[in-house]
Amino acid sequence: MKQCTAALGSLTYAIKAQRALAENGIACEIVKLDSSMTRRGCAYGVAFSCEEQRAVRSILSKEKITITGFVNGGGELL
Amino acid sequence: MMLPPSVYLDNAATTFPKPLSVLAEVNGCIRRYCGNPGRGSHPLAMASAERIFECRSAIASFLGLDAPESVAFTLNTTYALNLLIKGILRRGDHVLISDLEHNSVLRPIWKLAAEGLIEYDVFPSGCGQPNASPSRICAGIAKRLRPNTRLVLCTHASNVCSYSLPIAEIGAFCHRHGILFAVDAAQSAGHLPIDMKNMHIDALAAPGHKGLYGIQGAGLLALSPDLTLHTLIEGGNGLLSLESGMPDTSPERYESGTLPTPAIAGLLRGIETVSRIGIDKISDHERNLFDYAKERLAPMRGITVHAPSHRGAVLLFSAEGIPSEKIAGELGKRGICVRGGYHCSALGHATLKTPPDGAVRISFGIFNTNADVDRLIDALGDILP
Repeated sequence: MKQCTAALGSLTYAIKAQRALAENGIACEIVKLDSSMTRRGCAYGVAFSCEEQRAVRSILSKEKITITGFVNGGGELL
Repeated sequence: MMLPPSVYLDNAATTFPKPLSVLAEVNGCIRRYCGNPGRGSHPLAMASAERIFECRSAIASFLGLDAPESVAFTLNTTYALNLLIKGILRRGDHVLISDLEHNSVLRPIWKLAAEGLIEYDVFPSGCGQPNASPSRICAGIAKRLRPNTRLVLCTHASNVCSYSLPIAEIGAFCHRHGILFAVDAAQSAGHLPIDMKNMHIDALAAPGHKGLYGIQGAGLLALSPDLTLHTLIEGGNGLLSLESGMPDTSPERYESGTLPTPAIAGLLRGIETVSRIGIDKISDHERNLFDYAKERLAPMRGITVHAPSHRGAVLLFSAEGIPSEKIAGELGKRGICVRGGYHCSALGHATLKTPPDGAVRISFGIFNTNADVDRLIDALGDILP
């Protein structure tokens, strides 16, 4: 299953996102982004199945959690 | 070191003892999961971060805020107030503070004013004024407003007596006039109801180790979502480490350096304890103790209770001809823990017109009973002529 990662502003937002997604039945994992995903240094995000990308974006938007970057599978933040 | 059995009546300084759930959580944190939150991604770092998030959420809910990220942890209330004052005020601003403020408000404001950066005025809190009312207090604020008044900052409840300011009315007044409103909740968090949204509070500083029954080491600054402050200190916060500037994401923006995870984890259990008992019940308990202490002190010769009509967790008294520190010291020798002097509030003591050497403060918590007051009175009977 292809994994997507949404980069978030902080670990606080990552935990908040994880809980909001869980409440909506979407499992995700909090990840510390590696250097291939961020050129600005330490950052956190949530990783989830790419199939749920649309729902994830919608839920995080509703929760006012800003996605600062997005990785579709591997590679740098989009 | 084992101390002899004592009666602890200095809860306004820090509550003691702490609930067992707080002690268990602090102990469990240190023993089981105390990694550095927001630094790594390993299980212990994440476990600490999760607990801190839970505490942020609990505080936000306790204060009537929606978002956990509105709560920044600080070392204590004084740090939170300094962060607020120095992070929000700019050259040329005017500030209003009440005549009951603790030095944690007065001193940073005074320093900025002494440096010529800001100006400030003191408004009457209404304490000790028989005809005080929310509208009169707001009128006192209105009289002192200037075109450059940016902030009204006041204590919710005094630390030298049980008077509390009508912060909901003051907040509404400030917002009607386009002025920011901030509250020092050092003596009210856990004692009186607080709802930042409904009370129009833009920023609120509170301790973890007083009425919320956490341990010393964690305070907090809660901010309304649209308020961003300049930082007081800068450094590592686990975010965007390759950049020299501080990230603007709250609350980490205000939390450079390692957080006191054990203290924050304990605070979570403290808040749960306070919520389970209920603010109204705690407040009633403290008022009953106040009434009982006032009643027992009344027949004692030479004793004056200051601001006796304001019932609550703090009772201030003086004894004619005996310095307050002498009384506190003698009580201490008898195992009674109270505090004499000025309680870091020159403004408050001046407003209450206490004797030149200050006064003795007794302050109640959830674990106190009338028997503690009886022991205090017995000991005072030994000390007074």
